[in-house]
Amino acid sequence: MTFFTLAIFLSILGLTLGITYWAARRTHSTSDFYAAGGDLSATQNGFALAGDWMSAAAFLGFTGLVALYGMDGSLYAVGALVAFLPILIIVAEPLRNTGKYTVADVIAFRMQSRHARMASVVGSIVVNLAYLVPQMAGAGVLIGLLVGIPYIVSVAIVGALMIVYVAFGGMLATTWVQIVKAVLLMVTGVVLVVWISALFGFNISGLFGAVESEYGAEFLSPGNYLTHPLDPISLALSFAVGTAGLPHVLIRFYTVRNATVARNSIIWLMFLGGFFFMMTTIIGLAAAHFVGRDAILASGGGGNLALPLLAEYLGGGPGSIGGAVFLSFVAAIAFTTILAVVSGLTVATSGAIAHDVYVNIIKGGAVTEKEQLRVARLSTVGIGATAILLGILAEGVNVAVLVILAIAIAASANFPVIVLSLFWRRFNTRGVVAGVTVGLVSSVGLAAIGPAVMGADAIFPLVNPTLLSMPLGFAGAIIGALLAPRDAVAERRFDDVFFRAHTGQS
Amino acid sequence: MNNNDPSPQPRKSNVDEPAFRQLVRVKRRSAWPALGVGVGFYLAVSLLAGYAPSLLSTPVLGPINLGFVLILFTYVLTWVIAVLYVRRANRTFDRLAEAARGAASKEIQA
Repeated sequence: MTFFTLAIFLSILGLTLGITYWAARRTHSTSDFYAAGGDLSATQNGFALAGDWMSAAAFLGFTGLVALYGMDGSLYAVGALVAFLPILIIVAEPLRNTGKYTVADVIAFRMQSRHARMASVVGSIVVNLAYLVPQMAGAGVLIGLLVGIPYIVSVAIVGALMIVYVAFGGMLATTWVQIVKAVLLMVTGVVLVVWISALFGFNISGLFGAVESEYGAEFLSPGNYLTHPLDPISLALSFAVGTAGLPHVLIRFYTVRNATVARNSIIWLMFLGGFFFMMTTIIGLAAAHFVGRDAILASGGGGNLALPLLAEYLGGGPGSIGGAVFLSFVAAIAFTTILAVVSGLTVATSGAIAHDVYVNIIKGGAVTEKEQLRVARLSTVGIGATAILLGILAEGVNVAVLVILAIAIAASANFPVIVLSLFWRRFNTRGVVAGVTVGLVSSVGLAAIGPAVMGADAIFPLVNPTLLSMPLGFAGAIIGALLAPRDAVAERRFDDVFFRAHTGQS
Repeated sequence: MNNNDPSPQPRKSNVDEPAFRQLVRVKRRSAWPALGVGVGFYLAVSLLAGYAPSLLSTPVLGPINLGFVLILFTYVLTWVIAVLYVRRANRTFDRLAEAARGAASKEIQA
């Protein structure tokens, strides 16, 4: 087991470091570092988006949820696909047309204000960290369980690799690691699904029937995990709207030349990712049937090991060589998945700190290209160190809660501000600051008094606060803007911004 | 004509160009239905999941119940909407955006 695991891990590691070396030699400018040169093809960006979005939460989390709770896991999975309709239709093109490297670029372009940029930066960094920490913790747990390295060491290794990938290879390395990982993930998923189908004579309803006879029809019903009747819709809203507020997803649109390529890359993602999410339901049900819900529950992590355990079973079961090989392979892919996502998050956060805070807010843009690149690389090291520290501190914390929180904050603090900046003439800096503040406070506050933190004594009944915090975020932004005096110059400026957002030219 | 006319003509903004106005109109006409149907259907299924779980548990295709069928349909619907939207965008939006940009640069030269 150890030999195979080590061999497979080291091979994948070698591949990703090779990619980083190749990318580092091509990274000479800020455009290379933040946007991979800005000229990726739709296919490349599509695969990279898929690699970014098909995170360990999807790979392990969705399959685990289906294995333990049935249909609720499928509701999670399909939400991850639908989430890209608002991005495709509302956000992607205007963002690409009005920003340079970060989300705050768009807000700052509209408002021409450092305060607005700063507020947007806060929203971005909080969301990124909330998303990053559970990835680190997840990596720590996963590697610990499958390879036997202590948690702290695993977290440190992931953090160190992430620093190397991004500091040296920037967005180019990140992109190609994401592409490679997307391909590996798709192949794994297809192999698993074909194998499972074959075991049921290529009649998938047989799988449903088997699971139903073992666990009863209630298992296939909704409500086993999302127990409150408003939970599904709050989750749905969170995905549908929060994804369009996730900086590490949005900055991927800066890697392409124009709106057409951006759109086409989203189509690639929606088919790749959508297909993959569909497969997680089959894989999860198969895990429930072949491995058993009890075994999955006993393995800990809230079902996160359902897919690896199924792979082990299909390889020959625990203790067999085939099982060990399959398990190692799946673990290595999960590891690569996490690395790809944390790299993307690090590029996004580096953009916020180096490009937004240092270059634009502090220095007002008066920084040479060379210095900008240097600061970008330095910030990566700082972010990596912070991520390692927070990851270590997060040991034992229910990481699924943090991921939900990240998307909820994105839905409440980032999405309203982005949309209003792009589409509302009357919006202004005060609105941006108010929107981010109210969105942040309400989403974090409601999550803190919700079931995820307070369990059965929760004051707020929903796990996902979005249903309430997103409207509050919008309200805060709108009221904040209306309370500020009208600014005729800014409103006329909106015309220019609006024109550029939809035509790609000022 | 009074040479001391104190009210100059307001600068004509790019957004007033007919090509741009049409682009915005076409985009709006595509966006609302696409979002409404796509996201709306998903939200509707989510509401049903919360408030009518027994309905979604009804077996439809052998042991596969209505809920899973609706979820499968959500995938297909999302894909269809995305493809149709992008097709229209690639054909129509880009052509209009090009025209709007052209009109804008002529305005600058004038």
